[in-house]
Amino acid sequence: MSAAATVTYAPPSPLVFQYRVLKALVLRDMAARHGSTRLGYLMGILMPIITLSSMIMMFGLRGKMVPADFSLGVFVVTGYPLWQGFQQMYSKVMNVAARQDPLLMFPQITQLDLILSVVILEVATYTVVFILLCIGVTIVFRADPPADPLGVLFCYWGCLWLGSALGMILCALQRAAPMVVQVINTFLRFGMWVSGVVFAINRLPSWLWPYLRWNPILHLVEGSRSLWNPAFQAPIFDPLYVLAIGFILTTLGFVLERITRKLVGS
Amino acid sequence: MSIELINISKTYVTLGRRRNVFRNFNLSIPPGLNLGVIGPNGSGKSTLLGILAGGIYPDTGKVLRRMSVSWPIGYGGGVASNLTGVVNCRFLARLYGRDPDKIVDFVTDFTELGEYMTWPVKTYSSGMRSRLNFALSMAIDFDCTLVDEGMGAGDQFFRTKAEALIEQRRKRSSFVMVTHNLIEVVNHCDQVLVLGGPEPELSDDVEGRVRQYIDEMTSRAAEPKTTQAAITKAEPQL
Repeated sequence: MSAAATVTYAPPSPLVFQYRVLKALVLRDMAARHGSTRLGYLMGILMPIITLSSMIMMFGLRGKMVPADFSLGVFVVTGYPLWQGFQQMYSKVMNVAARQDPLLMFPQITQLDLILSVVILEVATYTVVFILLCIGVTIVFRADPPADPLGVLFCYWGCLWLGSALGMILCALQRAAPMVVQVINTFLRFGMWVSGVVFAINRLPSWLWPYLRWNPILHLVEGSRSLWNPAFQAPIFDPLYVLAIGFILTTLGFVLERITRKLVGS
Repeated sequence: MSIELINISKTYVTLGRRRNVFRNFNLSIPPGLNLGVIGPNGSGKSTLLGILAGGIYPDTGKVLRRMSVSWPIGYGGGVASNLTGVVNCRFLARLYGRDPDKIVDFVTDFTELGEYMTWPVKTYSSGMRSRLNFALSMAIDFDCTLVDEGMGAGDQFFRTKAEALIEQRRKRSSFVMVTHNLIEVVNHCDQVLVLGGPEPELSDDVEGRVRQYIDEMTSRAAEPKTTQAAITKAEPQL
């Protein structure tokens, strides 16, 4: 036998270990996504702004959908980015399963780390973009700034949270039952039309409201509007309901990730 | 300090057929051990390496890693082709809690890739890419190094340099080497694990067991059963 190893193995504490792995993954993802071109980071912020501008133009043509006490820009910025954030989060987190990432060969990287790194990077990027959008519409449309900016931001983060939690569930289902994911995806495509993005809910007859109350994104969209503009009374906004749904989805996501984790390495 | 596999079982299901690769398999790798793993194709050599590395989960059983374990040398999975060599180095350094600058310096120096290190890996030739993979694998000092098949990378000059580095590393850490190169096993290993039989067989008599393995393989290849069956099946078509 050759000489014994002299290196002493002292594994870092779990928190340090987790921080190290997530930092490495986030920085790598960031470089891979935005760092390959000179304008990469700028484009990451510009693209959502361009998309939103086209939405504002579309709403401008159909101005009747905007409530009277709302500026067009504020109405759009408190609706579409929230839905888009939710949608982007769930699709990006879900796609972690489809990537079959070779990084999983490294013992310290689990599928959950890949999911968390995607969540951290996306939440950071979208938050910057959302804040810029809010400042932008306030200036361009000469609208009043949000009455409760932190509340509006929390509504936005709520959508990102729900998207991430749903993405985790779909990520696990993608391995176990891909058909179910296709059905859910088809269903989610219509989500924008029942989430108060294209029209405020009080534009619909009140007998329809109870049928839409299940949708947590609708709660957050309506909530962000009423928090921006207190004159707007949101008929559907229950933060406790959103929190409950968020916790249920997150717990389910973690449990399913744990159950399907072994399928990843096989 | 060791790696212990305790009652490991691993089964693959392919086209509805179950294939047991390991059943209640136990293995202990103490510090400084050079272990050669041999066996025919499909006998589970790479699966064993994957289980030791942590990339493959066993169906049942426990893996206790009480020392740091490398990923299989030359494995390029951690290298993103749209990132530069430098960014890839930094990623692995951060992942293993090492100083990124030192890792970048080592890899740049060892691979002699020069300014290519700042180019995306997708622009590299296959030789340059395997040099980078190899150097990255060796940039971090592990207590146990895993080697899957050909570790030789690049041209003859680089291969000599690589072999010298491996030799150095072999002296101060455990080595688990999966290979078809039996001479390498006899020359470098303290123990040999033979897969592909009814049960995995671990032996201290490396040379003797390798000779026996060669005999088994030779007689299996010369077995008239399979050859004759294939000929009989093909004859009517001729």
